[in-house]
Amino acid sequence: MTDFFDIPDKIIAEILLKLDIKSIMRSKCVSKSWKSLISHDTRLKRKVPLIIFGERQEEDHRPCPREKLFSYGHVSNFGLPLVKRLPLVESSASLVVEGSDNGMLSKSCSDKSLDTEGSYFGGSYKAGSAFEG
Amino acid sequence: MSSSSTTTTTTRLLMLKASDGVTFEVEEAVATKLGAINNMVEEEGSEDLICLPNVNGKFLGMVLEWCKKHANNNTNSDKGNDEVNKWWDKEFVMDLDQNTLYHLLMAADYLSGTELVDLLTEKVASMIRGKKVEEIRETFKIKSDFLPGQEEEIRKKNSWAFE
Repeated sequence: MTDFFDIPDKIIAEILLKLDIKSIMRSKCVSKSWKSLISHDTRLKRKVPLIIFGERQEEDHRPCPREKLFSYGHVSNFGLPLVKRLPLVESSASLVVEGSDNGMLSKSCSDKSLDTEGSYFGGSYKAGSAFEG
Repeated sequence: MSSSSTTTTTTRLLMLKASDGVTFEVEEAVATKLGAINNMVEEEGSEDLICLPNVNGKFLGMVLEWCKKHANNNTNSDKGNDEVNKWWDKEFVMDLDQNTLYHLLMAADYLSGTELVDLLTEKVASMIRGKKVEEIRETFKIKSDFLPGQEEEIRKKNSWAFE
């Protein structure tokens, strides 16, 4: 009887690569080895967003018209900001996490007014690195 | 007897030997759908017997069955071929039990059957896609080995994925 654990990581990574970003993130919770694989496999890392959401940084004084979202700086809402500024991104009533590639990120912006402190944003940043989580 | 054999080209036959000694006689065009065998044929040239110590007969047979179908379907330059292949692929993976699925996947990977690996990994992915963590664990009989609180932390950090 072959156990799923007998399948080499290389193949599990192939399997996980076929998943949408939400399913990949949920898979992180399955076991330590899956979490480690998702955090360390180069191609999986690229699929996982670098930044999900955060708050506008105080030193970012760029004008932010209503139809734009803020730039973000926090990584996964935790830890030190890796990126000071992201491009301002077109907003919509709510951004949905649809997927991610090559460091692309997204997050719903909720019903908060876009120009108040603490509203959530999404943006894209071209980098191939995953946040720890 | 008719001499209709003018249309058939002589195809070279290869002998593939599995780990348990089971042998398969396969047309070269079928076997070379597997990258590993294609390489061996190209490198070793005249060798007709190929030993595959990492695959047993049952799964080698299934992999070859898949190769045969695809090789046959591809010889007809019919437009409906993609459809036929897709339909056949669906049938092929539909009733695989997990044990067979894993063995096949490893055999296909070992033999560098890229398309077959793609088909089988997609099958496994479909068992994970959109599922809850608990459901995934149950499907694959995986026990959580996180320390208390660790899983909660991941969930908290990535709450959007659990909505």
